[in-house]
Amino acid sequence: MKQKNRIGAAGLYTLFLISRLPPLLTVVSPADAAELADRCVLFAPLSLLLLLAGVPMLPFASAPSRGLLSVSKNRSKTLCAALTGLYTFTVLWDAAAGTAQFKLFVDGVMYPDVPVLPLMLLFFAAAVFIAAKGIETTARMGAVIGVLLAATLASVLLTTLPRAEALNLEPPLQKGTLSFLKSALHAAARTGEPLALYAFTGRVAGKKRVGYALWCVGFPALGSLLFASLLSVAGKSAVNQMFSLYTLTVLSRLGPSAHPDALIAAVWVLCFLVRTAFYLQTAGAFLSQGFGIKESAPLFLILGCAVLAGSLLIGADPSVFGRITSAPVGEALFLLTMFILPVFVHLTRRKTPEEIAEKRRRL
Amino acid sequence: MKQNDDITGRPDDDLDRLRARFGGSFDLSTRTFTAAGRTLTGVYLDGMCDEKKITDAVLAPLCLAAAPAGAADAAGFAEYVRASLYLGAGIAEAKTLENAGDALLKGAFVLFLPGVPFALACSVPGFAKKSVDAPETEQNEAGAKESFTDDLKDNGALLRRRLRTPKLVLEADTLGTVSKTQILYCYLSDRADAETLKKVKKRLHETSFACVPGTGALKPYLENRTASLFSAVGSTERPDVLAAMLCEGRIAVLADGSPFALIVPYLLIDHFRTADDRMAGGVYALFIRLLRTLGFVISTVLPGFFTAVCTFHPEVLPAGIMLDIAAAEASTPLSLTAETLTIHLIYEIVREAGIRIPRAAGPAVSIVGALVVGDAAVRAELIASPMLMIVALTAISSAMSPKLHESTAIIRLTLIVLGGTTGFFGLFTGIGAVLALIVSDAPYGVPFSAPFAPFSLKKQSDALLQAPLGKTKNDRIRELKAE
Repeated sequence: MKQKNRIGAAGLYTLFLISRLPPLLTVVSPADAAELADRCVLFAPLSLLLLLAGVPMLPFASAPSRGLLSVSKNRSKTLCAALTGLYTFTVLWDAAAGTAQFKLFVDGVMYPDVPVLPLMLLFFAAAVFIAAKGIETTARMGAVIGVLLAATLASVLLTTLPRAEALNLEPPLQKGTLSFLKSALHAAARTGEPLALYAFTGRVAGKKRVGYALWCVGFPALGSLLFASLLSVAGKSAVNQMFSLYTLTVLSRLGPSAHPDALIAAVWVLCFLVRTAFYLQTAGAFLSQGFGIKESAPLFLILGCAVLAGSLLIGADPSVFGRITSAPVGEALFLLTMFILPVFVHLTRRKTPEEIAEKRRRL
Repeated sequence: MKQNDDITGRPDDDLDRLRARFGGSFDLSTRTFTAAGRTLTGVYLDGMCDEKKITDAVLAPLCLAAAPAGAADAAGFAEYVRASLYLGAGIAEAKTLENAGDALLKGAFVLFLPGVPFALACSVPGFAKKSVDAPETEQNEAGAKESFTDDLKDNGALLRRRLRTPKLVLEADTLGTVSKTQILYCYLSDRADAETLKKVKKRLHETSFACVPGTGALKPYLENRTASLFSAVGSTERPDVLAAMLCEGRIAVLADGSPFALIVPYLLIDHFRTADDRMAGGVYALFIRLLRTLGFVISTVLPGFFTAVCTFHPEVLPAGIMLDIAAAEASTPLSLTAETLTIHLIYEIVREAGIRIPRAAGPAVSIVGALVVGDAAVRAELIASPMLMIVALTAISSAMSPKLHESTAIIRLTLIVLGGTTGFFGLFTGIGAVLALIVSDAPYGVPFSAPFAPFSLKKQSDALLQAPLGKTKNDRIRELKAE
């Protein structure tokens, strides 16, 4: 395995965070906006769900040198091909949905009067270039951009703190527990990053389980803090904000600049760049594991074109985005790919001759 | 063919064939003299040998000594000549004209003895060379004031004076089928990575050089990459800097005729460290290294950022400043992006001219650059004065890490185009791509961006921070590679 195709656990979970936070904070679709008050606490069940299930850790326990798809190939080639298709589609779909949010942000806030297609072409060219450099490069970029993102979020939170009003925070669960749990599942369905654990199983070095636990707790906690901050500052008007963090940055007025939001939007560009490259690499890793396709620049170019087309379709306008992303099929796909299929593959797996020999040796 | 190359023991014939090999060059000089009753002929290349040494160490002892009884036959005579010379180990036998020619090219006085089927090559090099001088391209405040010279032996000695240990290996090699340039691989045997050394040798030997005019010619082959903006091979003319680098486990290549050593691997952080930092103390060293890093960021991003702000995001600046810039830009004929590109291209032209022009004409470039570009262009309203401030700040920042100039110039121009046509979106997309280039590079297995990406807290002691000498990791390159 080439060095550039390996990744440390810390780098991988940093990528998870970089990939998840910006989409979470970029666009709140009209369908989600009404439940914004619940968002401050709904991350708790999401955290529990991810942590307790711990299913994405299964491949590391059962076949640490192989990925989920390699394990399924031992059982049936047809099953492996079907799973490869499904997982690649899911990852590309998640990538397209995230980039569609970014496209809406660029189209709606950054450049309302400029045709967005050339910008997206430039963006995807850079994302494919980064993806072709390997997962290790993306992880290192993630670490650098993570510092920028942390500084941005910290400065926004600190500067908006004086405007916070505790009375703006509405009590959660006003619409009942069932609605709240549905909301949690809906938010969880957007958390497609752990799929990368199935793609990069044999390539991750370091403390995977500790990192997973930290991510499961840390990311929802950070999300809750940011949404609580938004609500406490913007009050009920936050419900109408499509670009929630952007609203906060406009209110924050950092330094001498009257509009720091343009600069902070620039950090967003970098975050989405890394996110898109990471998703392309995850899809590439699935194709490599399932069909033995080489992870190369042409492959990432093809995958990049698919994601670009998808993002233009999903992000045509906010209402289309809301309709598509709030469909229950997303939640079903999440449950299927994240939990049900991995457990099924794990239970029905056939051991390789090496694994049998190893077991005998231990006995 | 091989037979014709052998030395026959008939000095006149051998000399004629040697002259023919050198194409009748004017500097192939001969000295004929008598010793022990026989006529000897010595050949040397005028200008490559020390004539005083020839007289004192070769001619005088042979002419003055009386021949012993055993010197009557050819073998005994050769032994007598060899014993009479004052050169000790500097005498070698040349059995062919090719060997004799090679010796001449290294500064030897070659003696042809009648009846003896080989020549004696007496090493008496003495060509003109630069003395050890103060460094010209790497200034420092309180460090050593010596720089490498053009002579390989002097350079080896300068290095050995600073690293008095048998672990310092100066391994000689020859490159160039025509130039036959001597090179030295310099490393500390207990700290350098054996795999890196092997790779360096392999890269230099897998290319067939005709001529190696200096270390600069070897640099692209040590890079061995085509599409990287940043060089993984450093260079220095300071023996103290090279000694410190070797202590960290790096490998250097010195070439005869060149006062610069090439160093591998060379990382991004090395561009922001200088010999003065150690004397500055920890806090100031951190400050100045951060400042150099900021200088690199300013020199690459500032013009593109300025163009993006003025063209797409004027709201970022306070209204008063923005209005002043708008007023100044209103009277210029070019668009802001075209103006930024033009002024930076002019800056590159002036810089290049300043480097290449003979010293006597140097002030002329400065005057033309300052008056025509700086003053007249603003007065004629061809360029706005805020733009001039931007280019000046960029140029000064760029001078803080001069070895990065090639990379920063290309990145800067690209970011100007991206910032000017697509604002922050394109600018930061471009910055993302540059960042990918920086963090993806791993020359000789060591990440170019180490120890920041991948981040390692333990390796920060001599990165931006300056730990006391005793606490710095001396074999950090090997550790970074293992990371």
